Amino acid sequence: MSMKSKQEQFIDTAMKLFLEKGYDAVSVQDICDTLHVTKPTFYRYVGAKEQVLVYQFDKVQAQVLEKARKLAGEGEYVKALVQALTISHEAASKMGFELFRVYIKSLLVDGGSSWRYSRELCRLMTDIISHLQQQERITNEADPLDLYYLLVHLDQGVSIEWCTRKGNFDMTRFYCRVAGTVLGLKELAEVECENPLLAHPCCRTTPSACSESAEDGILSA
Amino acid sequence: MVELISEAKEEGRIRNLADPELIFTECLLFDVGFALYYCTEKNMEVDDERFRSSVRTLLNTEQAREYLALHEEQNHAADRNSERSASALLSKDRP
Repeated sequence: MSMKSKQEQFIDTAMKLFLEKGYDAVSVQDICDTLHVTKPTFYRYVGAKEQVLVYQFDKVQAQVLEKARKLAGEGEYVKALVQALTISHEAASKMGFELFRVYIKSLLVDGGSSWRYSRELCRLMTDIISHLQQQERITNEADPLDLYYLLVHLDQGVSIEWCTRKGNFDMTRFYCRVAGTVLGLKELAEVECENPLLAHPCCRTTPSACSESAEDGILSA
Repeated sequence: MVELISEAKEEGRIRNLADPELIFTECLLFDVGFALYYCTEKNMEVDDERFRSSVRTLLNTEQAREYLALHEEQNHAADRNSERSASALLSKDRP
């Protein structure tokens, strides 16, 4: 079995266990027992338990590049942009806020880095943004790379907020709206979505369902 | 802050399409996201100018002085504590 497929076997098994039992309840030994291998084998192919989530998002990066390139090649720049900006939300929603939180924390470990800063993706995204600026569909005239970095920082802010609010809002819709208003891209800016940060911090419902939203939300703190 | 943003929007100095409350929310989200970036991309050149440039881009304005002046102190504090804060923010025990 190749290195890559062996690694994928570890990742798939570990993810299945994490989703079933929760990240903290699963040990490296549990993963090894399921696959009938020893711990040194796990460390050889995966490195560390947290790396499982990093590899999971590496897969997302490959999908982003493939899909966004295809759409951009067909002249579908807005779709390519949305695809690239939100594909990770799909993965995050599938794994749930607890596992996603572990992934974000793993970025803080020395040597951690978000896949969103990869040179290949930066180049593709600046091309897409630049095309949309030339077509005057994006009205913010800032440098495309600055805009891309800003979108990534906003995405990370939205992701952290989504984790701290235990996944109680639609991350993709909210992020699309935020990205749209920053870019000056009407198709996205007009996405209807309540502002989850107006919700009361203790509230686990949508903002409109919380009677304390307006008075005690983070914006009025 | 919302009032300041609202005023600047009316004067056409801020061209971000969102309503003032959402623009301020975006500033907060950006601040959190930038702190994570600051912590994770240790080898990259992360400086005040990059932060300022991003805020100008976010607001879609050349004049972001009001926002920056009010946040300067907070940002310096964030620089000192950002790694610890980001970690604490994601702590499982946080309500």
